[in-house]
Amino acid sequence: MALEIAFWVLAIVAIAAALAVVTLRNVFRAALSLILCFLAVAGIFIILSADFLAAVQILIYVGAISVLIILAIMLTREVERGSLSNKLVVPVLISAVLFFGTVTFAMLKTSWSLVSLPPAEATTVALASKLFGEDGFILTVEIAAILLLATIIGAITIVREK
Amino acid sequence: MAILSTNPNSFSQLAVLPPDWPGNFWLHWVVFTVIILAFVLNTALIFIWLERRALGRFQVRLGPNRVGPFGLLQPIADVLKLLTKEDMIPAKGDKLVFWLAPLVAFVPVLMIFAVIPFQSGALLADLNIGILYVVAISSVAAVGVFMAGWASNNKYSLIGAMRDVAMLISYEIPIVLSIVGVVLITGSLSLTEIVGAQRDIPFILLQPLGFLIFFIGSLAESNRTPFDLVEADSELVAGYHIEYSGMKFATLFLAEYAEVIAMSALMTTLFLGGWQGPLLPPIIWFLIKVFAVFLFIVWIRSTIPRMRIDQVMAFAWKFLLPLALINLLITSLQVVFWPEASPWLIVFLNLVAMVVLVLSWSRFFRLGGERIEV
Amino acid sequence: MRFEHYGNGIAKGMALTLKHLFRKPITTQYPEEKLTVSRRIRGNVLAWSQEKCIGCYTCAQSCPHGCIDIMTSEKGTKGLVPAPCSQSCPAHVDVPRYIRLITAGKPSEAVAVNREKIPFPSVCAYICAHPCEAACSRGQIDEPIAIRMLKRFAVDNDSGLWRKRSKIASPSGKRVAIIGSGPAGLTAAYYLTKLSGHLVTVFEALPEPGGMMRVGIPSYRLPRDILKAEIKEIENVGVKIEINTKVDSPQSLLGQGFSAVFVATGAHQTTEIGVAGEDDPRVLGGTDFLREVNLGKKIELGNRVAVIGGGNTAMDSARTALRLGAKEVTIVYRRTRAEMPASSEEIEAATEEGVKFLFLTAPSQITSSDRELELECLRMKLGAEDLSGRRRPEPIAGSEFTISLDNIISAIGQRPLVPASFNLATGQGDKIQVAPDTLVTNNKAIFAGGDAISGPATVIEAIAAGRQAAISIDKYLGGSGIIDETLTPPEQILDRLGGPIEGWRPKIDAIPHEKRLSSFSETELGWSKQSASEETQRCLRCDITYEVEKYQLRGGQCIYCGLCVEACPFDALFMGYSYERASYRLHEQLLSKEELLLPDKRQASGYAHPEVEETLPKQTLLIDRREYFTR
Repeated sequence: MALEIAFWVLAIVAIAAALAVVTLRNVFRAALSLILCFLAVAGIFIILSADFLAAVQILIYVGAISVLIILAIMLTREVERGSLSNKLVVPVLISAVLFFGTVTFAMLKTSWSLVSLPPAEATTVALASKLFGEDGFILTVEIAAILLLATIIGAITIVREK
Repeated sequence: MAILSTNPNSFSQLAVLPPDWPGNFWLHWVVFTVIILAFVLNTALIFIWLERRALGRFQVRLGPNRVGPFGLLQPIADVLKLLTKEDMIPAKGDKLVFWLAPLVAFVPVLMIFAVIPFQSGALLADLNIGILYVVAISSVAAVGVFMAGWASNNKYSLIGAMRDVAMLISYEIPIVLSIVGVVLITGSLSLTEIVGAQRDIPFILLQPLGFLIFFIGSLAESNRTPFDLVEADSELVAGYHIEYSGMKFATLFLAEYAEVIAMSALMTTLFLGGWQGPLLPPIIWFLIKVFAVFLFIVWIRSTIPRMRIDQVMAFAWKFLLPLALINLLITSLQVVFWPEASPWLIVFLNLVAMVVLVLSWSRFFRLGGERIEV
Repeated sequence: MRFEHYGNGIAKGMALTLKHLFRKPITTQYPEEKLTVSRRIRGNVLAWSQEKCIGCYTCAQSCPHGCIDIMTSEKGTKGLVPAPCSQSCPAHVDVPRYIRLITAGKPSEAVAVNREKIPFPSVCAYICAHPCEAACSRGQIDEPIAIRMLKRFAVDNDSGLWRKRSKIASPSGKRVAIIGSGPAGLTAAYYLTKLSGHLVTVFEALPEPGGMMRVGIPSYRLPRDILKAEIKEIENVGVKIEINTKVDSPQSLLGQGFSAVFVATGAHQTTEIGVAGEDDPRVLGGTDFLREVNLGKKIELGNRVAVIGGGNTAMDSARTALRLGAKEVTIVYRRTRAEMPASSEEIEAATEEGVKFLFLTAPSQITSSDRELELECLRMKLGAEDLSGRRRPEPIAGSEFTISLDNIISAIGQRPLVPASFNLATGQGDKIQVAPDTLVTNNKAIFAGGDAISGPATVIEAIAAGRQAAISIDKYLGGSGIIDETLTPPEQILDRLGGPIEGWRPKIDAIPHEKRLSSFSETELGWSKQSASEETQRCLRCDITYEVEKYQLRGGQCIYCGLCVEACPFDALFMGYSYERASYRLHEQLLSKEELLLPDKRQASGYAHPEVEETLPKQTLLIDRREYFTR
């Protein structure tokens, strides 16, 4: 019962914050709403017993990505009035509706296999053995790591003074 | 030997946490929330007094000595003064954000204390992901600082806030990497189990380099000298809280001290054996260690001058990060290949490795050689 | 720089701060209680009042930036305001005038100026407590003028010029009795005889006249021949001094043909310390000890002597004890040197001669054995201020310690001893109660003055009391009460004399202290003509008013430190905030507008009251911030 209430609260907050991100003119406040949205999503992860995921959500999305977004916003002008020369409202609206419809359709039509098992005691261990253990996704992890490394090197190359 | 064991469940028997201590869930929650609030507020007051007195003595002064015996009531007088001050909001500032910022800065810091074990089993929540939770939550506090800096509509505040964020992002990486060393040895993210793993040897000996990196990183994260660029008085007047007054300023100030308390408590828990110690009751040991760490921070504050922002960034990326990676490598090798080695041998090896690494890395690390503009 | 150098620096710094942790903190200890507020309020306007300014240049000299420009008339006249020195002198001696006469090379005239107000110029020249020097405007700049030493120079070079000009009043036929031949009694006797013509008899209980000047002050400070000469002058005008005559009752004197009696018995009774064992014969009273020595009696002192107290009597006792052969003299005082009532010159001289000081120490008990005395003392600490403005000592519990001694001299104070047979009303501390302006006691024919009504004080205060008594007695006997005489012609319009010159006081010569201890001859030597002339030129001559033609402040240089405001002896400068200034200006404007009206149209408004007009400071604004910055 209590968990259900918590879920609804978090869900409503997440959706409201997400709406605020796109509707608010003030870019800084929009970024703050995005942080609120991420936090609410992290809360939903906790309800689903995915504690590691929740922590990583906060660490990476709130602690790193949002802060970088804000840092970027700080370097722009007209923070409080948003983008004035934006003429893409209608195309963006159409594509957003289309994307939303597609995703909803896909989610509703998929036959989800519900797991009745209780969640694992410590998700961290299970996650680690899945990612790094035998028969796990070690190759994917390594590929992601190399991709990130390449991005970093690429970024450095671009900004570096000749 | 047990300490380097990779079995994640090897220390679960040490966590003597009755599931419903000291009562049912809600009672437990209420009791510990009150305890944590009281602990943080009182310790902050004591820390403020202690810092000013100790700093005075380090500088051959007396420090505050007029209000109450030994000036003990000085922080209370300061708080009263702050509470009776006029509450000012900049006319062109973002009022809502300005109002929210102190809360957003303070609440995450308070939340860190939820997982810190004051003694065996005495904590609000023994999370499986304990230390990861701490790292995640403490990064949210930067958002509060940033909100304060931006909403003030003051260039000095904004510069202070941006410095804070830049420092936070940079120093979080060496901090997390040094924590990973501890986690590798313990085999668990739970703080209770990390404390339990230090029953024989505290991790400050097993992970000397890790402790050094974590300590320096903590100083930077909690904006203490020599990394107090966020509020560098000589450049930024007061940094992000320049426009704050009254209760809101008090909350920001409290958040800063709460962060120092949290960092001291974390160092105690991760590296100094937490509440463990002979003869005295565990809570006393915990407090002794927290205060000792804090006094060491004050000692450093009284000695080392503030660094420049480019030096701070270079120090994080060129000095701490490589050393943290090497430390992680060494620790992993030890955990994987010599799990049965004598712990004292490991202690010796790690100490030697630290000295050699720090000295040799200093050879080709130069401070302030180039200009980085942040 | 290599990183390891940083490492070394950090390590050294950490060691240094850690070492600091164990050092005693350096701090300015300030009193717990409120401090007095300085006149030097820093504000943003500085104003100057033409009415009050006398053109003395004190402000210009005190300014560290030299940004005050004054131009004055060449000739000065005596101002309406007396100079701080003569104002602070109890007898109102015209100090600036005699200093000018010394500058002009007329020391005899200078003595005559002194003689106009005091009959003891030589005594004062040796031992006056000189409140004038404390008030001297020059002290605001560097060091006050050495007024006493200049008087000393004058009396040393006196040719007795004043005698030719002095006149003795014709006898009035009335007889006055004066009990006590101290400074107060002799002063009253002198003026009553010389200027009012009464027949005065002075009764003295001791074998020598002079009171405390004779028996309280050791001869190394006041040589006996000087005092004798002064008393001789008083006897010359017709005063009769009867020594070895103890008066039982002033009332009985009234019955013996005396129309009025002046009681000036002084304060000779030593105050008891109030500790056990004080009645031992080896514990001496300070004044008793000095009296015995000064009257030539032989007093045997041991090698170790402690003097309890911090006043001039204590210093005199200590220095006398040294001259009597004591090897080790210690002064025990319960406060610190800063609170000592003795004059700083005396304290310095005592220190030079080898007297030891035990500050913050109070005796608690005296135990005596056959061979020696044991003085048990308590350590004290300073607490809050008491009524006298000094910090009250409080004992520190358990800090007792003992000193072994041969003799103890208690000099913590004196009080008057008025016999019950005098039948006079006495107040607190056995002081005779008198009406403060007439000095008349409860019997209207009996007057009292000097230490007997004030408790132990200075010679100059006693002289002032004697003058006051002479005026009152003369009035009581039907005279005019005017005891002023003119012994030097008044000054005309004055040229600016040389100076004021810069610099400190010339050195005062004294005989080496090895020689001092062997005899009671005077220690301080007078000044040469050159030193005295140098010193007189340091005088700012605050009493002469010059017409100020220009008073200007260089705005760009002024830092509003307020030193000039503090230095001005006449409150002619004012520093405050512009709103204070604005209110003054409003009043001035309203007043000037009302003056424009025709006389018959003028109404009595709130601002038209002349008394209000008088209270308003007529000030010239030197700097207006706004004007200065908009320029």
